[in-house]
Amino acid sequence: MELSDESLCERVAGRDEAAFNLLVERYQQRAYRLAWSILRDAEEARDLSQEAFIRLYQAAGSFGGRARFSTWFYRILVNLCLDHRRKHRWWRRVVAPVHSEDEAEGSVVERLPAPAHDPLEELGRGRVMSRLWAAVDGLSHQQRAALLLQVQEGLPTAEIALVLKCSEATVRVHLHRALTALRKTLGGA
Amino acid sequence: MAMTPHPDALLIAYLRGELAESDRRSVADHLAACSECARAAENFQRILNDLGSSLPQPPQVHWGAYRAELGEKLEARRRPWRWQWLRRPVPLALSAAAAGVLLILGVQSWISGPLGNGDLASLEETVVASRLDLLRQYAVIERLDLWEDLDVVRRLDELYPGRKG
Repeated sequence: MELSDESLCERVAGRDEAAFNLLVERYQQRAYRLAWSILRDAEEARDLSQEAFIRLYQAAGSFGGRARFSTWFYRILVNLCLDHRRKHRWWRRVVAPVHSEDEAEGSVVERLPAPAHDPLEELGRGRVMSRLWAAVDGLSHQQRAALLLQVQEGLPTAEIALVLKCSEATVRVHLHRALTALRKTLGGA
Repeated sequence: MAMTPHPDALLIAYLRGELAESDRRSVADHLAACSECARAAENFQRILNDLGSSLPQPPQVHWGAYRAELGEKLEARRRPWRWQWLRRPVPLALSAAAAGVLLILGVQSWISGPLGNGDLASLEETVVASRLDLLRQYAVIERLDLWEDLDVVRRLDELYPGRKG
């Protein structure tokens, strides 16, 4: 019978190398893909996803089993990626401007009237997708992380809140602002 | 009937079916009455669908190499820091050299015994006198306040006539 992630993590706490290797095999692709989605750099994604596994190994004893293993592991990984992006924020602003994380509550952008016609039907699909993902790259760290966890990993709002260590209401605000910004980008052609 | 406030942040949860029944009904009633929010909800849903169906794929990775690299990094972290330091040749060589110098100085000090003031003066005299001819007359020179004034030295006989020796 296949062992659960939580059981494997408990064995890793007891320094079971086989259990650790099995967890790595189960999560290596997801970890690397999520890190790359946040960082948009293959080398950094490789390094930080590996770092997340190392921290998993070192901290397996503190898992506790109160949350799902995936939530706990994603929190380690996302925190590493967000901290890394924050440290290099000045450089990224020089290379490609990003939206400030300090957006005011209820900004004017969020209440702009909707376009008179659906812009998605007018643009070629390829161009739309390119613009869409370029706009995702321009979101704030938290908005981007929340959106990727929802769209790419399929996590519910409650689990996203645990990963990002914030309330569900805050996650909803992040997602709403992210989608409003994306909608404005598509409608602002 | 007065319209309920715009749901804004609740829209995403509504679209994902995460709201409690009472909240879901409230949002649904609002969307039925507010074309602006209804259009926003429709756009949000399409954007979420498009994002989900067009996820960019990262560059491919050789997972065997990835795990091997991870194993090396983990092993390096598990090694105590002092053993990691020993694997670096330059600090190891410098430390060995410094230890050697300290050992030699310590042995020399143990052999020669503790230096007193007299021994130190004798050592100083030996070292300096081997290079400076003037200091062969060290016992005389050390009493001269103006030992650099050679004219005074030369004319001592004239300055003190009648004195012998």
